[in-house]
Amino acid sequence: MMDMERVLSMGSRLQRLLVEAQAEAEQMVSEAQKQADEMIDAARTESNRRRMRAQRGTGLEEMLSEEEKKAEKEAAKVSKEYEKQVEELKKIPAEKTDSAVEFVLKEVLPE
Amino acid sequence: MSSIELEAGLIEKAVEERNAILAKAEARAERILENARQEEARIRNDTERHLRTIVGSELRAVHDRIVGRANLDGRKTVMEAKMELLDDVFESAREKLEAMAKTGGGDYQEVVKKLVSEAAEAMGEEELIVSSNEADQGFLKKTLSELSRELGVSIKLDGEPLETMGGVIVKNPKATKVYYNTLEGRLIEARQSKASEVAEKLGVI
Repeated sequence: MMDMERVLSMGSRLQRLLVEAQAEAEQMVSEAQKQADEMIDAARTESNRRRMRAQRGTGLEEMLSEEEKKAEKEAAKVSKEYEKQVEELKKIPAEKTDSAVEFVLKEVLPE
Repeated sequence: MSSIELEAGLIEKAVEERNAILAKAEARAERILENARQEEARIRNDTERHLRTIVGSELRAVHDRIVGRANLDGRKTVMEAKMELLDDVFESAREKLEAMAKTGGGDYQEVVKKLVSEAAEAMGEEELIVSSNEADQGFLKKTLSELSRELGVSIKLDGEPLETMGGVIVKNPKATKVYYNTLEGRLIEARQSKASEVAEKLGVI
């Protein structure tokens, strides 16, 4: 009889544990939902602010400056490509140079 | 089954169920946040696209100014490097010609005779005056009569020496026709007319 009572008491404590877990789970989801709503609201607010400023012709400095940064990165890549070409030019083998000099001499000296 | 075993079974089942509830909630929360992050990115991209349609031309101008300048500068640097290579080739050729004229190597005297002949044929005059540098004058003095015979024209040597590395300037007595056939002159002409062929030989075209 005593054993049965203990088991029943344990059962009710475990039931409470599950109810608490359920509440914790709901809290977790609710907090995530709140955080998600805040993120989206902030994004929408920022979007509206930027759209309105752009329509008034202001607030474009940020975009222009961003574009400038992007373009500078691209320009650095472009410059590097050309630098590579210049480096390649410096590696021309002596035979080619000699052959070019011979060609010039042939042109300069009468046949 | 003893009461202890029964209790242990109940506890295990309850803990499993609790963990499942929390894991499910955690996954759902993560899904909610992930969707929000995607939505946030979509809003940001849409805004960016929208703004670009408004200020597209300004942005393009910024891009073109900066990247265009880099392209221009880069092309100029490459072009200068190519020109430097050409300069080196023509400078080497000039040094070789100078050495040839100084030492008389590479059958230089034959070269000078050919330069006189070429001028004479091009001018079509009966009388010619040939100018050269001091070093070549000595050789020309000895060979002009032979050259005159070969070419069938009267050729005299101008006593005034030229400041030249080598080669000749040939004119008629009234100096109404002048044929510049110095080595420097021919080198300059080659530079002007054969630069692209030299570049091709170097493999820089």
